[in-house]
Amino acid sequence: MAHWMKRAGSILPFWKRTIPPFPVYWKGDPKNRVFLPTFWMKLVKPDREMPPDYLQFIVHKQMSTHDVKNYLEKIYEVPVLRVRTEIRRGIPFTKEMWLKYVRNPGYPIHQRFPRDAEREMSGVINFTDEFKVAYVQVPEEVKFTWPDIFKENKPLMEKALEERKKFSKEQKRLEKSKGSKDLPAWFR
Amino acid sequence: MAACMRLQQFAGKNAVQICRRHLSGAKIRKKVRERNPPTIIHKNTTMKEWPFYSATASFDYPKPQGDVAEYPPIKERFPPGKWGCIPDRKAWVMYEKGKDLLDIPHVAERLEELCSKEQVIVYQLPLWQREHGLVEFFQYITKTHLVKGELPDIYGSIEVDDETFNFIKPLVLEVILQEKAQVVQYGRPHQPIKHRTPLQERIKREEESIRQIVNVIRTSLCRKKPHLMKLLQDKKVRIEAYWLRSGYEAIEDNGYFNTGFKHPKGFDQVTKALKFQSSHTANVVLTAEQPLPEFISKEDPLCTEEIPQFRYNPMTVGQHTAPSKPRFVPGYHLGQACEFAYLTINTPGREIDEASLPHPDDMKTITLQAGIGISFSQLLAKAHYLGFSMYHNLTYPLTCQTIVGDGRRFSFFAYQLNTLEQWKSDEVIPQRNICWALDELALYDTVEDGEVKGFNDEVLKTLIKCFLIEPEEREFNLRPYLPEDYEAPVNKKEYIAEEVKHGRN
Amino acid sequence: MRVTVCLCRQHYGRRWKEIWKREGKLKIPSTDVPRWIQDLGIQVVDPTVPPPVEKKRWTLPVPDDPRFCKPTYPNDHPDFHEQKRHIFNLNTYLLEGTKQIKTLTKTQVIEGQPKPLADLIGKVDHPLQDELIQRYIMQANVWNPATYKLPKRINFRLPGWKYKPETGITMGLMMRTLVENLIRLCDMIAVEEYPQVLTERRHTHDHVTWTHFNTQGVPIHVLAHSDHMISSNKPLPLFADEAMIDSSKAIVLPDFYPMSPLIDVKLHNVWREDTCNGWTPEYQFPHVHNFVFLNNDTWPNDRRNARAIMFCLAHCLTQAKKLYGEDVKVLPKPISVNCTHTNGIVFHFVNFQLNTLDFENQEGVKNIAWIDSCRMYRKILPKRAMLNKTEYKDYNPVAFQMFKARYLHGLVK
Repeated sequence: MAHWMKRAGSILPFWKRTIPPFPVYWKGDPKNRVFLPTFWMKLVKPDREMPPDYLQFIVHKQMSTHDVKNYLEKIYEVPVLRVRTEIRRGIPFTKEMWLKYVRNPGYPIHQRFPRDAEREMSGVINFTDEFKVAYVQVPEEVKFTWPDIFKENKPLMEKALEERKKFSKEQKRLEKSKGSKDLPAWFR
Repeated sequence: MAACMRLQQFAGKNAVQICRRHLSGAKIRKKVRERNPPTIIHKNTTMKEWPFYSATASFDYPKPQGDVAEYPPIKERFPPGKWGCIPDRKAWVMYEKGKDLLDIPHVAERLEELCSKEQVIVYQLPLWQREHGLVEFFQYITKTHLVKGELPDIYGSIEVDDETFNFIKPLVLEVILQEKAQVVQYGRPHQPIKHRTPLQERIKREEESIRQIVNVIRTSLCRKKPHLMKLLQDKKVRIEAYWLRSGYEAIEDNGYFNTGFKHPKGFDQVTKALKFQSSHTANVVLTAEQPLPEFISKEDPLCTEEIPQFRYNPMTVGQHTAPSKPRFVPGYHLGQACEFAYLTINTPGREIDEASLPHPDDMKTITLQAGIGISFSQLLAKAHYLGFSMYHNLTYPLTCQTIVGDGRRFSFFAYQLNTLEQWKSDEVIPQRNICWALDELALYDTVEDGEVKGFNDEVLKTLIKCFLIEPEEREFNLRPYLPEDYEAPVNKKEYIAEEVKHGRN
Repeated sequence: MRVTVCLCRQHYGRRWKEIWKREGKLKIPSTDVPRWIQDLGIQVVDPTVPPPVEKKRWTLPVPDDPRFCKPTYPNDHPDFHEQKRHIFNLNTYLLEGTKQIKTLTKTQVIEGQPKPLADLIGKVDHPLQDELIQRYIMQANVWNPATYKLPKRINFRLPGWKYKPETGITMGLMMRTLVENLIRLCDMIAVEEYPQVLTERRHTHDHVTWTHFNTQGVPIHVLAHSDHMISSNKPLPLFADEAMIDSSKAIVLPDFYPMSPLIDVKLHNVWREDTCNGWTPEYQFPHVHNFVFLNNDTWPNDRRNARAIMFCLAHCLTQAKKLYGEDVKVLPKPISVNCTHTNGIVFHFVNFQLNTLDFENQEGVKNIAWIDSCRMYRKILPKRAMLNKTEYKDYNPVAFQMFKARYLHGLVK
């Protein structure tokens, strides 16, 4: 590491920094207790359709499965059966997306990149940081339903959804004529 | 529509398919000729009488008498059979793949053909899994209807005599006590003692006691039941199978942080199904010469019961994909004399440490899903060795018995495999496989002061019943899709040629 | 062009040399301490010599931390002794083979099988047994789906030929499956006529015994391993009658002078003084009838037989010490034992009868051992091809007959 990068940790926002190192544990020492860890967890809507007893989180990159389990059980008193974590690669974004994000930090840059554009990777200027995802399995007694916060105004995503609907309509029209593609246009 | 179908035929599509199978040029040409005969045939003419050939001899052109243009019959839209959501062209592809498979006479070559030489991306499915609540998932991918808390009626009809039971019971009690009578020195002689961990010691004890109990029951029943003599027994053998499962075509893998694949990983584009490859090592495997009797007939309403629809992406329940070659290993190589399943016993000790499981009911679900998975995959692999495959469905149900236990606690399973067509949609093919499962029962509670306490007679009786069921000889052909001159390995009497003179050394 | 500029230019090289000659050397004034300072008696520190640094060795704050555990040494072994002792175990390789074991254990070695066993051959037969054994052989060699990495093949007749690396069934696995199946078949065949097989006999795996005895004044510690042990609650009937035992007095044992017969038996610090028959003292089936161990090595048969005879002696000795006390000198009644050792193809049989415990001198009554062997089948490896082309032929049914006779001995009266 170059010497000028040593201070980089203090420039980063607090939630992105690495956790302070734990003291070395020797046999007979008292238990290490951290009361205010710099860990955080973010409950997100699952990206794939999942069984009802699974929850999905985006967590601090240094959190292990034990940390996630203890975090939920000790702080929120949510019983946990199993935890599985994986590190996802960053999401590509274009210049337009970046500008939108800069002007309005509420813009969901972490949302899915348009599928067709991603295949070609056209206009991609950078990737977002890698992040860790935790899948938590809870017992059947615990039930969580997502609250509808934007019941009245959902202006941000509305346009995108409408575009999507339009696109799907066109696709349906195409699919209808798919079976008779190899026929000349006259027979269709 | 008809015009469309005819176009398809003229395209020489068959030729392309045959070329893919890496056959020699002559064979391909022969096959293409068989498939696509010339469309216009002049009757009463041969190549020798062709005009320019006979031009030097005479100028009388042979007049073709009765010019008849014969077209091949128009193809149906779908090949025979039920195809469900598979589109017509892909159905034809699958149908002709199955047809090609029948041309290959040897089972080994057929398996090579089925297991493509290239690696494919499949779901690696170890049958011992620590995940919680995968029973429904296993039921769906194996298309199994689960009957809990009872065994099939055959077990009720068999009765264990008091005489045999009273003969075996003290022997089993002694086997349990004998474990602690042996003085064991670990490690190689005269090197520092390597103490085993408690886990290793427990595994050793489990496997040893189960083997001893099986030996005791088998030898003591041998006089009454001669079929026990002919069983082949082996320990720690691989059981692996590969299959496709439908029902995942509507699932999109369009996560907001994922690459934009349309389908989940391990998706087969032709059949629109997911690929699975299971792997397992069974502790004790017993195989018989003849198949076990079927537990219920194919027309029974139980065979068309509903199964739980667990249609989530397998990634979400902790499964992972990896590239590998498809493998079918039923616990032996091709050519083994005893080809039919009789009994397998599996110990969870090597794979699962019960103390580390978070939920008290975890062990129950783990044994259930393992019992379903093990019995399904071994029957599937055995069916492939008998000549059946995903293209050629079973003509008679295959059955097996499975025990999951650690020497003290046992759970019994009986399984009947009805179909191999999991890759077609469930609405089209209503046949389901059936698994009967008894709850976990303890053979005894504890061993204290050289005495076994809380011995359960019922468990020992069901254990004995597993050995009392006799394999049945069937009247019909057990290998209908193999050529008629195929010699079954059961009928082979001499495997090693005897010497003329029996001399020493 | 002005030539003068070039011609009149100063010659820097010569100039540089002159300066370098004069000022090129660095003259350092002497750093000695002046005498007047020395006279004052001031302590002078030499700056060129670095000051001594106190080296501190890092020590563990906790003595028994598992992360820094040290490997165990033989000295830490509970059975460690300062004095070395001769030890006979599975790895002891006697160069002279049976000739050497004769003097070590004071035995008369006879080739062939004893009379009671010869009578037992072909006695309890099953019509299917040959077919089943052929299946077992094929199962052990071919049908098992194991994929272990096989050792590198070497053929001395084809130097320079490289064999492909292969996976498959190892020799150890092959032996284990075959022998287990054979013993199980023996059980099932014998049960029909002799149901006491299940009540009177017990079968244990991975059995270990250890004893010690003195040969010509030198103590030996013997440690005998066996893979399969068949024991009973009744002692095994004897092979030789009293006339045969008396006739053994006349036999002269070979002499190795000036060499000691203990030449290949290695000395170790780790040994034990007690004897153990491998079971707890309350065990009801301590009489050894038959034990099988597997030769997973490339030794000559003579050495293997020597090892087997020593193991037989160890089993007999433990039994004698258990029956008649630890310090027994004169044996009231002989003790016998059967042994089979095999590499999965050839079966070697050793029958041993302990007649004396007097190993000090080489005269008087001797112990008797019978040695015999039989090949079950022939396994012909291909010369250059892979191992799946191996041929199996010449099945010999006599081998199992002999194996079964050892098993039945003690059951049949």
